Amino acid sequence: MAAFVDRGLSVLKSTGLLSLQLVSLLLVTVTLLFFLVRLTGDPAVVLSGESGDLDALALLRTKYGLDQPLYVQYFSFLANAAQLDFGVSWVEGRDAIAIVWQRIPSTLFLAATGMAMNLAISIPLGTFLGTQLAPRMRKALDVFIFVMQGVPGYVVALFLIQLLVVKYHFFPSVGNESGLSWVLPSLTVASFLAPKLARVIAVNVSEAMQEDYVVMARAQGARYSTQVIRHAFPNAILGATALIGTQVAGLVNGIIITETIFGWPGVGRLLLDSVLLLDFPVVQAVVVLTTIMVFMVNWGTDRVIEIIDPRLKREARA
Amino acid sequence: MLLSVLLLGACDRDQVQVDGAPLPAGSSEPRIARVAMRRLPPAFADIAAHSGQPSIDIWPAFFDALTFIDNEGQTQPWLTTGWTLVDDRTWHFKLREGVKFSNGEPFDARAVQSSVDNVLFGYGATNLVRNSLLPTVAGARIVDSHTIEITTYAPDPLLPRRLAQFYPLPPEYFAKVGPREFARKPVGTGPFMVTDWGVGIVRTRVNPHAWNPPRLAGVDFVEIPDMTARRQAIESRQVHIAQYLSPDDIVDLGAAGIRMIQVAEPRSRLMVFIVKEGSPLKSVLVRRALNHAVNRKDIVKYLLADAPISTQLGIRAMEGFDPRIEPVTYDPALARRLLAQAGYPKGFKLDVDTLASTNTDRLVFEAVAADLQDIGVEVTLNTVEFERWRANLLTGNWKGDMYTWATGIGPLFDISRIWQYLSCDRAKPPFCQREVSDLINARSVEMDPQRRAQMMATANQMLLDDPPAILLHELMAVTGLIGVKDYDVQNLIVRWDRLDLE
Amino acid sequence: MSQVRDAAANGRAIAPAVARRPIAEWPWRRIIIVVAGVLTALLVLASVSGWGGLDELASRRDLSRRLLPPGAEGHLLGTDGLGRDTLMRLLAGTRYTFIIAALATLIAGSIGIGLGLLAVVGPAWVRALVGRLVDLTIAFPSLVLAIVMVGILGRGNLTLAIALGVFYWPSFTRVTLAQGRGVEVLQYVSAARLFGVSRLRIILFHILPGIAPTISVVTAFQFASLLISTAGLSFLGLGPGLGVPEWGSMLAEARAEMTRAPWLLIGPGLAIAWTVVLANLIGDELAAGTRANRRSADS
Repeated sequence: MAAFVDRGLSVLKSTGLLSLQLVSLLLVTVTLLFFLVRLTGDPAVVLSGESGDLDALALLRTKYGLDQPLYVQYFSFLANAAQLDFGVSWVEGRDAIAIVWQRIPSTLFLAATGMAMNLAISIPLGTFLGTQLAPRMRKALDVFIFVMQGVPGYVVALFLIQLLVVKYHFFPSVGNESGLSWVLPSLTVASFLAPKLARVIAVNVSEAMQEDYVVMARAQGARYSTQVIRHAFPNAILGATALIGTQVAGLVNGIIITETIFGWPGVGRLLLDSVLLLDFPVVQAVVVLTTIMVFMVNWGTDRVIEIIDPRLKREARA
Repeated sequence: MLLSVLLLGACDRDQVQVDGAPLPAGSSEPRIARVAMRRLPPAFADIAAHSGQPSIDIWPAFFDALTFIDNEGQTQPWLTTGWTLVDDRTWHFKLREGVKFSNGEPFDARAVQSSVDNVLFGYGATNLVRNSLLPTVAGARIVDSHTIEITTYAPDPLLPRRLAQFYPLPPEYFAKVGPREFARKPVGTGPFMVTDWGVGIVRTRVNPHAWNPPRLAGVDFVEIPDMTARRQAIESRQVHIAQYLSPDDIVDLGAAGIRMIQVAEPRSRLMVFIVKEGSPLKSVLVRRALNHAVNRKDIVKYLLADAPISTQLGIRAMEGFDPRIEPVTYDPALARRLLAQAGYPKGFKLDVDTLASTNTDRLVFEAVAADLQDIGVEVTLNTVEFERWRANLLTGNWKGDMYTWATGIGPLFDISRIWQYLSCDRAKPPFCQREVSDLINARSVEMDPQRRAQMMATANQMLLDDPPAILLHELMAVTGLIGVKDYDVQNLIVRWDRLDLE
Repeated sequence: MSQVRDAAANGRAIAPAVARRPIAEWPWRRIIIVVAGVLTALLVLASVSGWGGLDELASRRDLSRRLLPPGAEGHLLGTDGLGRDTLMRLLAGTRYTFIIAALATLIAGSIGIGLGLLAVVGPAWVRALVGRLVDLTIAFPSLVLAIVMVGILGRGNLTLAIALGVFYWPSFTRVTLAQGRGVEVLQYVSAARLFGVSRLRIILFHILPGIAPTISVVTAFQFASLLISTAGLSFLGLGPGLGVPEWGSMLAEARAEMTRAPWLLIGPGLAIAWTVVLANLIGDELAAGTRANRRSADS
């Protein structure tokens, strides 16, 4: 009975800690946003559009509560933000949160396919690089990947577009309408992450090949491919999972740039457009939602990694 | 290996294959045209919330205005058939008979009157349209079923022109659903009606009650903000019409079998001087010198596919335009002499608040900056986003010494639109030219067209002697067309009813 | 890498050929890196000081010779939208990306090392607080907030550097913490403490030199990342103003002219890739050097 209560308390404690982390993160983010927005000057002028007379400005100030003292504005802003109410978009007139919500599925789709492509490319490639097969091809590939690590994803994207879209009409480059339109954007997202992951897997595989259990397998006459796939590979992947975890966070950066280049109707492009249009409600909504999502995904991948490799859990505790 | 990829992508510029592939799914219905737009109206179809572009790029497909202004700058009847002046401030407009809204409601004086009431005096905390489009209208009164009387606060010779952007609304439907719902599901008298307003796409189909029936079954408007993506959309035949492409695309896309046309935008580009105390721009000589330093011929020839050079404020189709005025000569030696005369032989520095929405804009401003550099004026182009630029325009709080402007004289085709921002009566004008200001003010209430023209000519001459800006060029919009014909544009308003597929 | 440490700790011999990454098989690698590094450094200096009239050469324009392909009329990389020589612009523009990235690295490093040192010598609660800050910062979507900051506060070299630097410091702190603690407990440091040597002196003369090698590795890699991010933000339109030949902006310009003049992508793309690869290589070299030192120190 006592053990049960103990367990319950610890679960409660860790959930509490988690929420505390999330809340403090959001608080900082939201406060930062609030003051940044106020720094740009009078939002009423931005809202007033073409007219500019003082009466209209005064009306606008009352309507949006901009004539209240700053701390009142801040707390009402916080209260609203807690309910995910960021107000109405100054550009579109709809609820900011609705606009963001509408575009999240596209971004999630891109994130998923991008990550999948990343893994699909890095894992076989990395494993191959970690073996002793075909030394010259391996070395050439290795150089290629090293260079690709330095080539920013946006450069890669532009080349892909030039080749496959403009010259050879293989793929569309417009938004998200036709069936194959996800291919190039996912490839671009993957190119931000794949070189590094492939190299780390390669190192891990080559090191794993020297481990006792693989040497044993070799001594017992196992084929090279079996040594690699059945013995070295699983442990190498364990080592790489930590990296995959951090890559998920870096995914956001790649997505913003990719969405802009390909006109993908997702949240990243919305952010850039809203910032340039000074549409603050939408900017705030995007930043807060993204922060929450990134946090969730980070936490999720941490848990998955811990399950896969309990050693890391022990290390974290220490 | 990277290099090989690069070279592969870069080598040979053969003709792009004309693949003749049918348009992708979504336009499998045969007589629907797809249009790639730069931007969809941000406030949907809320006519009180927004005016000008991008709204007029798409609203005329389903909304009709009371009048329209043709390419010669003349006001023509549309939903009105004619108008008469009762006195200085009272107009009678005769309305077209037999017109219905797409939901069956009749279009009559009652509809116009309730629209005026709603838009000018009704919903919304601020009346943006009132202030920018119809600031002079005091009210509307029904004379009979198809005659409406409109009164103004002061004599307003431009009233019929203003009504070219006023779209009457169906009173019952509007009262039933309210402004916000109306904006999402608009009902108008236009050739098409909106069937779906989604994120990034607006679908319209034939209006069964149209008084002006279209030739097509419908038009789909797709929002593609990025110019390169728009170009790629038409190159790969995913759309029939791509608006606002680059002048540089004319040759390439033309070679690829796409018909490229240039449409005159009622806008001209200039760089306005902001005169502050102690600024070199205070001197008339300096301002003239800067105008002489810019090589406009090369700029329009190489960057703008020969757009017309600005000779005066406004554009060719404007009321009061003087075709006899020659463009300012390109004379860097003269410019340098003028600068020395003004006391700046070594030049000086200038910060320009720059709004460059497209690549071509950027190139033009960089070319101008380079020209000024050649006579010793060091120019820094500080990029400003559109919203911030607009806020600065309204309040007059510019950071730099100049700002860039692509001024529209539409929808009225009159200098008043530009002048409201340069006039001395503003809270913070860029700088004040009292005589010109007074003259233009007087002109705005002058009802006699002869006297108006005379006043404008005098004002133009004054502005040439004491330039408020570096005049550059008139804007031409480049549009790509494939598979369509009869694409007719009157001052940025497309005749969607006339459009047809080949 | 932890596997390497584990293996070493268990006394297992590992052939150097396996412990190092495959690319290390080149014998003349180090020479290439040094030469390339020196050349690049010279270039940066030239760009910054305006030596050789680079800026003037870069701004020479001829509208009638726009968008020429590489090799035409002596322009090795062709000409851009205003007829300016691309190669010259590329060279003259070196300083922008470099300086902003360097500034950002400096900011990130200062914050990171500073906080790390605080955590090393301070009481446990400071360590916990710093740990929280690290977690918090890592959880921030950095590009998102950088975009917002620059978009709102306005463009400018300093703004960009701050917007980026503020998110890149955690790596520095982590390394400082990990390495610093290792140094802290070294016997001579404990001895120094016993003798009442002030904390500040301990930091300056013992800890800092101790962590310097690993910090330099982190610096190289962070600089590489920051180069990519700087050019990236510039590419998105948030970099220095118009007409400035910063590589990211040049890439954006190239994109606008892509269908007409695809070769414009080559210059800035290669330039960015080159510097990033170089920084990564230098980081690798430093890392290998550190590992070698430490292994020899352990054995």
